[in-house]
Amino acid sequence: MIDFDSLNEVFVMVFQDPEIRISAETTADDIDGWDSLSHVILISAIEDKYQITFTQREILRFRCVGDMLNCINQKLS
Amino acid sequence: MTEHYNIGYKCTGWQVNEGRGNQVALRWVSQKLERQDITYRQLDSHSNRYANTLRDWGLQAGERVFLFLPRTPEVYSAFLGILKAGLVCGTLFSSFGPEALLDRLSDGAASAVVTNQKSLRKLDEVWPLLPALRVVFLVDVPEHLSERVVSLPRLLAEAGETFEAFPARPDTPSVIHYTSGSTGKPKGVQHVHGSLESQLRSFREVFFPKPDDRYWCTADHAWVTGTSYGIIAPFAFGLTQVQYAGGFDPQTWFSIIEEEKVNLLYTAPTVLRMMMQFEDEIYQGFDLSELRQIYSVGEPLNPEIYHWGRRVLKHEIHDTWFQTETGSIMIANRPGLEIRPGSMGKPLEGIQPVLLADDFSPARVGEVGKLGLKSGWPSMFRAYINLPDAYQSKFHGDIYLTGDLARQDEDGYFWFIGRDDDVINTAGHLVSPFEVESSLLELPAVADVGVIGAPDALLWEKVVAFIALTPAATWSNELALRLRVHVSNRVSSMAAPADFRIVQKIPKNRSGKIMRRVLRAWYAGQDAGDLSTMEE
Repeated sequence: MIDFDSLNEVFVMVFQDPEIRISAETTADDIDGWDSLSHVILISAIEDKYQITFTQREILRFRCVGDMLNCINQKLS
Repeated sequence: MTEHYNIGYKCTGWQVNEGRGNQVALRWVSQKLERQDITYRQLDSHSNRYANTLRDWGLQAGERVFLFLPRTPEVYSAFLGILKAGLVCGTLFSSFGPEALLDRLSDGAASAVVTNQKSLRKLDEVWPLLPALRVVFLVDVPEHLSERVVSLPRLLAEAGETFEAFPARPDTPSVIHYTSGSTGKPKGVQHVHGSLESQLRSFREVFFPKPDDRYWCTADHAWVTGTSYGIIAPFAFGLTQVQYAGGFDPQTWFSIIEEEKVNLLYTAPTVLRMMMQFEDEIYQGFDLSELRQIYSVGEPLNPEIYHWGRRVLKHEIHDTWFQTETGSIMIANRPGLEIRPGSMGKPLEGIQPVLLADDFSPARVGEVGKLGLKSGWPSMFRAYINLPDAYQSKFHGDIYLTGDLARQDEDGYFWFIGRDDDVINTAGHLVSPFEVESSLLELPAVADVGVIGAPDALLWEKVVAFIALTPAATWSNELALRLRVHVSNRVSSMAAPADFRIVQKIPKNRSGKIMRRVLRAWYAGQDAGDLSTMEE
């Protein structure tokens, strides 16, 4: 199981903002620079870090960071 | 004012004078699906407050004010207020990094920027290099942060809500959009207040709007579609717009279309392709009976999207074609015209496209040629800022050369073939290979780089970077990610390479120019053809 602190490191790296603090409710509106294209980079960073692969549909269904974390943990379990 | 050419006024005060003061101009749907209605009267008075604030701050007609904001209701009042004051509005994607910002704000000699606290961080990085930038207006702080970083809520509250719009003439500068070329920095495309005539006429001719319609244009305001058809044309027509703050999600989007009774939807092929990836059943639960027409812009609309639209959404999808430089739709599939799936459609009334062979003689019917447009339509761009030669190079006599290649069939339909240059069209955004290469070269692991566009099922084209590494560097997923993150944050997320190829050397001709056709052939696994001009 990974937690928000672990996932937060990916967000900080991708958006180059050390002040980012994610939570389950965090959405693209809350993070400067998180748009549909940087989302692709974020996804590949997460896949690299946790050695998982998301399907296109899974990616499109993420509506908040909580959805993302749940999906990662499902894959890791 | 005897004649009203001012776009800001036509979209607000004129609408109030026409009796639409209490009509909803903008229904804003937040990410939490909360609604906020803004009437034309409120849009008028709020944009007047903006105009007064900008003037009170000493900004004079003709000076450039840039909007650097994500999607918020403030965008509309700010944009229209800037135009009312006779200032020129530059638009910026909120995803832009410091380098992209610096290029545009420096070239545009920005006098002021309207932004928020989050984006101020990126702006602060480059502000010392922007001597013309006098003031930054923040939309989300209650008090001024310094003498030059000031609170808009406070200033707007103090400003008067009446304003006599600047008496713009048809050739008075209005909006600047930056667009990417295949070489050099992005070019500032200058538009004028007279563009409204083309924008409104094309809006009527293509969309067939009715006074009670609800219209949703999903384009970001930093894109020409987002201003021409996301602000100017619908407000100047007196329509009610629906806008949603969040990103793409098919369930949410279609629930908004259903609940807000959207009649006209204007979106992009990439979005439609994303919709196609979901099960058909998702869409069948929605009542789309109020939705009359769907339109698309930005990249060519593949025939399979058209057929999917008919099958799943029970609607035809109409492709429209225009460019930042044209300011309004030039060629379109539209109601009343039989759609040829995959075609651009036919030219709008008064628009005269031509297809030219390499020697600029007319191409024959069915032959691929350079797509040109006989100049003279009101929304035609008037300059590339600071680049008169580049502007002139876009014309052959009185023909504006679009940089696109197309063919025309026997029935007059135009068919997009590709670009005549190296510009990459990714998800409707033009990306300059030069900008991406410059950014990647900043990283110590990169010895040399060449960037191309390659076909992509979702984005139309994706950015592909060929990298020659320095001897000390080793290729890894981590390095690939670092390169992507660097381009995304320094330039823009839309410019970040989707794919990399590691090579020993970037192919260049003897004058040192990257041979992109060789890179394209390598990427496609094809023979690179004649390499006699390649440097040793």
